[in-house]
Amino acid sequence: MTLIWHIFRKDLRHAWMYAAIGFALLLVSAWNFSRLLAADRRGQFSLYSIQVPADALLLVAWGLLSGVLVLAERIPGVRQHWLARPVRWQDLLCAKALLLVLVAALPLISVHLSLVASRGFSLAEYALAVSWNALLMVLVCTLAIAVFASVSRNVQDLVLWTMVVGGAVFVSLALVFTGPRAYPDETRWVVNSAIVLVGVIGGIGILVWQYATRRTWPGRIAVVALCALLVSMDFWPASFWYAVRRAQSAQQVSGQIGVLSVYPENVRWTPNWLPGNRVGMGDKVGLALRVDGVPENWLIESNGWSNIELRTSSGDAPSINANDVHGSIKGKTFDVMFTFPYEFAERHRTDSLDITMTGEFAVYGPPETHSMKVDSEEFVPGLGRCRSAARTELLVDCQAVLQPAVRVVGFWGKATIFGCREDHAPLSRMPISFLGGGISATSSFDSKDIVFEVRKPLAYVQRRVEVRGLRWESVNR
Amino acid sequence: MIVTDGLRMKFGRHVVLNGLDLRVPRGSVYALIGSNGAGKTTTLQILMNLLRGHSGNASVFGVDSRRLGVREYARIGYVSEGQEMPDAMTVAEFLAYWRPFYPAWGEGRERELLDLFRLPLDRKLKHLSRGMRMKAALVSSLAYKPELIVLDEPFSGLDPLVRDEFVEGLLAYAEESTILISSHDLGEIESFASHVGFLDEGRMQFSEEMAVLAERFREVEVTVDGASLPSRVPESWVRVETSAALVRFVETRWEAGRTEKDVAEAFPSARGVEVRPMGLRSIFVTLAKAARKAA
Repeated sequence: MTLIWHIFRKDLRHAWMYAAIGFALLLVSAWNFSRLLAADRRGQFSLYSIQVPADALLLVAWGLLSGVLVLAERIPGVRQHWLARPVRWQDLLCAKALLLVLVAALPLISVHLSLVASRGFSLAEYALAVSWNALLMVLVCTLAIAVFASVSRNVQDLVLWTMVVGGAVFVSLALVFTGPRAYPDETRWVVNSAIVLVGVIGGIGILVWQYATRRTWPGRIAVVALCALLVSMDFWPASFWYAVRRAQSAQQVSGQIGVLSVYPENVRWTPNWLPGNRVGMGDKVGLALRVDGVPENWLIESNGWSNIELRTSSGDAPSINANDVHGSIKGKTFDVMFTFPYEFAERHRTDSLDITMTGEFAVYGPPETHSMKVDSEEFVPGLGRCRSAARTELLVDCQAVLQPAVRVVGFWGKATIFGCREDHAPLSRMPISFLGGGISATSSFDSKDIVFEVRKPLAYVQRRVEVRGLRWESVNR
Repeated sequence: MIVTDGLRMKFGRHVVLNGLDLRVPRGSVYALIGSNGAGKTTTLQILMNLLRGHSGNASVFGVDSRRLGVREYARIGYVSEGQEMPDAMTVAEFLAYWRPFYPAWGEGRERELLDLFRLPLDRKLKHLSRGMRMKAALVSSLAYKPELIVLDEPFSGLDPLVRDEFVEGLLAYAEESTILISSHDLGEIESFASHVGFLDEGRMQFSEEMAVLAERFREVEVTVDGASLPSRVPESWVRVETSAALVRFVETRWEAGRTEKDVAEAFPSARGVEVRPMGLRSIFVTLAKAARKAA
């Protein structure tokens, strides 16, 4: 421990400037975020224009700090003064980690806890989660550069690695994020969490391995492989991420959720209505589905479909992917809509159809109803600290610590203010998340209270449905 | 103290070490000599576990060099040419940094070395001359009385005065250490090496005590009437050159009486034979040229 402390002090003398810049940026970010928390929604916009660059610069400063720390005893090469000296790699690595903890993680944890406390949230309740989140945030900000530095011979090498490999990963992820995603929105938090966790675990693994073995080329190959793995995760099939979500979520009631079945009498057929322009359009068939075992006041939400197989009695099997299937919530039943090419529908008008497919569902418990006065600020259980203001429109802003896993619908008289579901994920983020909504002034101004229905997820389940011998002539038109 | 057996190493297709066998006895000052690219630096780097050989064995203190750890490194002082130093540190900070890593570090000894080398404690390493940096590295490697000192081309680029000071400090403070030194500066090495190994193309051509080496190498000059070489000369003669009335060669296995007899047999008309001892530099040049010619 003495030697770890000794190396730590040497590193601090070497990298104090980066640490100081990081600390200053952290204070700016925290100060601005506290103003952001206190501001109304209109005032938040200008504060974000400070918050975003401050956070970006903080990320750069911490990235540089970690790079400088690793390069202080660079790993590739044979001419460094510290080689052939009685230095335990574990001590070296611990000293670097200790410095990052003391100059980045601890200040960040302190700042986050202060922000949480300043908004009146219970520290006893959130301290652990907020600290873990802040620690993860520092890891995300510093680990990539530290790993790149561990396979770099000098600063130029590090810049090249960061720009080429880091840039490629960033662009790939950005393209996936902005383009058509391979995974549904409901699994985004699972995918993102998995990417962060795999990145952190893989990064730590490579870093430790590099310090222990100093094998530069295998290390570089491992870095590229890890980056490729992280990018590829965005393209893994949705069924995998649904399985991860089921495995990682508390399954409080999955046993009592029954089978998924279809109501043939409620199957509807909607022919393509565009005359003379049927290319690219299609006929639509809607199935009414129902999941048994869901009590009346629960809510079940269809998230997505996979393993969809259709076969006509004449043996034709059109390819249907998940994007051709759309489900919607309707009480306890689902309308699932298939879109078929017009030619296919015409050709098999007299055939019968077999359909099998697997559905993913989120099951929410009974709603907890809470209300708050208009033009007030108060804690709403399960939702956080909410503030409402009625001017020419009604605005409601809620602040919650991290992101609670809830499904919220707000009502103001007959108007719905917002319906939003937030998923909790072990991701690095600011300690307090925002949830907000509003409506323009309507006749509902006579209502004094805003009512929230907050539901918590009880289970995520997968069910398979089979429809045999569905005749299209029998379908309601 | 140091043993390698059949050590092989290659960079890409280029074979650097081709079955190197090396024995460095405890208490010796072993000079590893050889031309550029002979594999000296690679050998030392494998011994220090900075590189890994492709095959063969290397051990230091009886420990496989790939497993050298804190315990062994605390007994080794390693200084190499072009070693990257923490430039932003002053000499004092540099020494203060390494002090706690070595239980045997003697602060009195450190002060004596600093006085001997006249190192400015408050000067940053990046502002020191090459020679001063090497001295700082040497101080940080001698202050704990290492059992083994490994020096890789330590004199390279140093002016004669600094070289002398360096050697002086080394000899004064490494009296109980084994020293393995690779160098081109054969004149300097000759003055204090007890053993010498000649490395050529990744193989040890010879390895023996300095005194034995000096004893068996002789430069021989034969005065003859009309110099012509006999059809066969002993294998131990290298660099055989002839001029009008002179034959010169280097006898690599000189023995009083035997060499004269061999000369008499090869040159019956010899009018005179002059035998001169050789310095390490001359021996090295002779061997290097002979090896190059054979290649």
